[in-house]
Amino acid sequence: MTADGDDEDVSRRWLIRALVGLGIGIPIAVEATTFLGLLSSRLGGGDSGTEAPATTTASGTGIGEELLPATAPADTLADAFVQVADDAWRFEATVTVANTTDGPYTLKLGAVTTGSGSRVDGGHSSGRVPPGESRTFTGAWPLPAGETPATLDVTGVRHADGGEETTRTVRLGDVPVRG
Amino acid sequence: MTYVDDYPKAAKLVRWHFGVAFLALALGGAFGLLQALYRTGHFRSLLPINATEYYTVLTGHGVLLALVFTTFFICGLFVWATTSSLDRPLASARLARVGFVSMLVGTVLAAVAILNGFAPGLPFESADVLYTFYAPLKAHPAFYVGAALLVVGSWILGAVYFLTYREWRTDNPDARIPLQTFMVLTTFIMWYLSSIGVAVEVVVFLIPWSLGWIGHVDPLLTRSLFWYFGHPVVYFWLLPGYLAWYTLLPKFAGGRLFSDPLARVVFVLFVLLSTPVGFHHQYLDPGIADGFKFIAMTNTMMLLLPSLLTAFTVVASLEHGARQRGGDGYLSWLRALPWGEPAFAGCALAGLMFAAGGFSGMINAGMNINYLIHNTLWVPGHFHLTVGTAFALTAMAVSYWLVPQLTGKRLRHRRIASVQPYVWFVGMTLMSNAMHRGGLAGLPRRTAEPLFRDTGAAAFDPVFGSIAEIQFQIAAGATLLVVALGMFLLVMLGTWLSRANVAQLSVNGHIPEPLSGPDDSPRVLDNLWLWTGIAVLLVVIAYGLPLWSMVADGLLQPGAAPIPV
Amino acid sequence: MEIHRFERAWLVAALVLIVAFVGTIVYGAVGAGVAMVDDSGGTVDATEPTTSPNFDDPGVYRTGDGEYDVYVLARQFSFAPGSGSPITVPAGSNVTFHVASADVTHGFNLVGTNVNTMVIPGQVSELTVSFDDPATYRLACHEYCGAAHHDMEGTVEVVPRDQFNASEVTDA
Repeated sequence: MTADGDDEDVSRRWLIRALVGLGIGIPIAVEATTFLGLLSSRLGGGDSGTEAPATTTASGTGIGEELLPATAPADTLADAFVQVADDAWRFEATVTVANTTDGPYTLKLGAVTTGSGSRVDGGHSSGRVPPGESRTFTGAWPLPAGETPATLDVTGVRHADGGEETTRTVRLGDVPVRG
Repeated sequence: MTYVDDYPKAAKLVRWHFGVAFLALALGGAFGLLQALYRTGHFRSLLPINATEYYTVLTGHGVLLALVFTTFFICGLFVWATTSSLDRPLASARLARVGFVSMLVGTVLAAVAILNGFAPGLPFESADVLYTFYAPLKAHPAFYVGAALLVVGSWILGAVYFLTYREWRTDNPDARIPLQTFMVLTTFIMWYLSSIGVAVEVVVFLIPWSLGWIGHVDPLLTRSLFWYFGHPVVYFWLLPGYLAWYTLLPKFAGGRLFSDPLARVVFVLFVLLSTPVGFHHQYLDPGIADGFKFIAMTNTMMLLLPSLLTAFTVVASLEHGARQRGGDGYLSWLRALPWGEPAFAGCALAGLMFAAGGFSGMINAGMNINYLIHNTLWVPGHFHLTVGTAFALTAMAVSYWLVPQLTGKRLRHRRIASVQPYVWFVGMTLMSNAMHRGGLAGLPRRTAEPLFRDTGAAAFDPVFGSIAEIQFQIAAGATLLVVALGMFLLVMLGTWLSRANVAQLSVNGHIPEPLSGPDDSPRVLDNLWLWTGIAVLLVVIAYGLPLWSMVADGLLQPGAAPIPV
Repeated sequence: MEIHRFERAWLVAALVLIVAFVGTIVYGAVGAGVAMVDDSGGTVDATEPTTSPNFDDPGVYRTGDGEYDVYVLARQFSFAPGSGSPITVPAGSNVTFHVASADVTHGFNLVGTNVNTMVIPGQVSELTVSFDDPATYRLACHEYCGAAHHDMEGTVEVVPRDQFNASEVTDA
């Protein structure tokens, strides 16, 4: 066997050692870490295992909830859905404004921003709602296909107080999708 | 003499099968990377698909890998195994070609329908129904016709194996069936018995329904017929892997198979038990009484036995081989094995990974435990260990050894081939480990967007690690897998396209005799009719009543109209 | 047939393991009392489940003290109730979900829990769950059901008893 052949054998042996070492060693390390991690969370945390996953983020505004809790009149999101279509999707929101105050009140729905970041402008309004009355109206926004609404710009105007406006970018809860 | 010289027609047939299989593997594998990156939210803006097209990719990935790659590779491998172990040419190469063409035409039909998801201008309409195609989701009829042609083609190839065996039997009335042929025949007995389910589902129900000839089908019945087939199909994938581990791996290791009789026992057990277990895929389905689910559970647990027996025999054979090579000690004989040889390393690593996959499968089989992981990411975590490694990596390893004998060309890029199984193994460990953990946390499978729209990952509580880390690990593992796939394809292409060698190949088809041969086993093991009969009986027991109760209220009731995707 | 003594030992160990696994499941069934979803939910019309009682008005129904039936209709791509506004039940109650589909096969899973079932058109999935403590669970459809499958989600809120608005619940 020539010296070159020896060198090739040696480098081949080192290649194989590296292959097996890393190739089997990394998986063993990954699995061992997982196993120890599972064990320690069981022994350390002492989880009962049946605990519900804590939802650490408060969820957005859902159907039946108020869009502008800060204003006295109740502006309730009566219904919301996204209608699926082949080319563009459509977001519809129905809002009921119950004006329990002494002065007229207008609720305006503005732009919608989707989960993917697209912004769709809109301008839907309840019109001036006289004191003591209720009004329900629906706004619709075309959305790029496949995208769902994440936030909605809402403005409430209290005309009696010189047109004082309350604006909020409402984070929407998961809006139901219709096929 | 090399196989291609001894059996040129059969070698050509195997090359065709492997060629289609590798094409399907390449495309299906590429789809897999697209999926992994998309759903884990990495580089989404760079990917050429949107959320809806994700389901086209998912359908393509499942069909190309779990149905096309597997079936073509297995049928090709079995052509080689039958001719080589019976030492005679196929009874009818023409009939075999008919089978191949049926499978190929079926594949093209289904593939074109699926690709409509990206290119609506193609003939047929889309088939974004995933590889399980549950009604009432409806694909274009071409998809179902394609699936039927693929299955029927495999039946024809099976007939060729049996005809060849029958010819051999006439010339060898008293001999024991050579082990590889025994494995081919038993695998196909199981395949015929099990694929009847999906054939009935597709031909009797889904094709007429998708053409509008019948208005409704019963989704529970069609789903149950699919899973009647859907579990044994994994043994259709596994048993060829076992053929390699039992008959080839000992040779790769430099030794001999520990026990031929035990191998026969294992295959007989699979003939009996593979099909009467399908309800373990439907543990959480309504409309099926829990007694039937319990029977499926006990039968499934019994299936652990042949695999555990295989583990023993394979490791014993490896140990024998290692000691022949000079290894000694309790465990240090492992070092004497040829880890640098790609065919050996691929099979050995695939077997090791299968052990893990088998145990995660036991969790799936655990009826009430199944509640925790059904349809979560745990399930793909499991089956990427089994079909994705035990089958796929073994197929690649065997190809390193067999393709030179099919082409008469030396294996090229040997160094890459040596490294490839290890890259696959590491990539799969990363991806599957993360998928299992993600599934336990509740991440769903089969979805373009596993996180909730509003609250994101907050609802998922991994016991160890974070969702972000799990998703990154999946993407990293998938990337390594595609790299390994690329390495395999490079080696295959390089070998296939190289010039035929005047020099001898470095591999040969000689398989040494087992340490304990077939004559040490009871003849009844070779009684294929007996085992077929018992298998049919077990299927009738497991499926007779439940299927009866589904059709008792009407074959097509409760009937659902098609809902095109 | 000669069986090596190690092989025999391995065979016995394998059988013991299998029996142990089956035993674990049997314990889960009869000891811990985890029932499987089965055919007790009955059937409905596969295309018009709303023709069946309570699916025409899905929601929370009170059937007894601390006992509730929740009828959920799953359709492409939302749960009614559940999507948009959550399904609300009080803590310390036993809730039986009855879930049906109006179109294709869906999944119904409170993620991170064992409340998990398939929703197959024509069949009703019946699942009884004890909710002991207040919590918010997210509901996912985990069976591919079409182009917007990934948007199909909902919420189940288990609220403290004193916060539960019983007037919004129909008596069954």
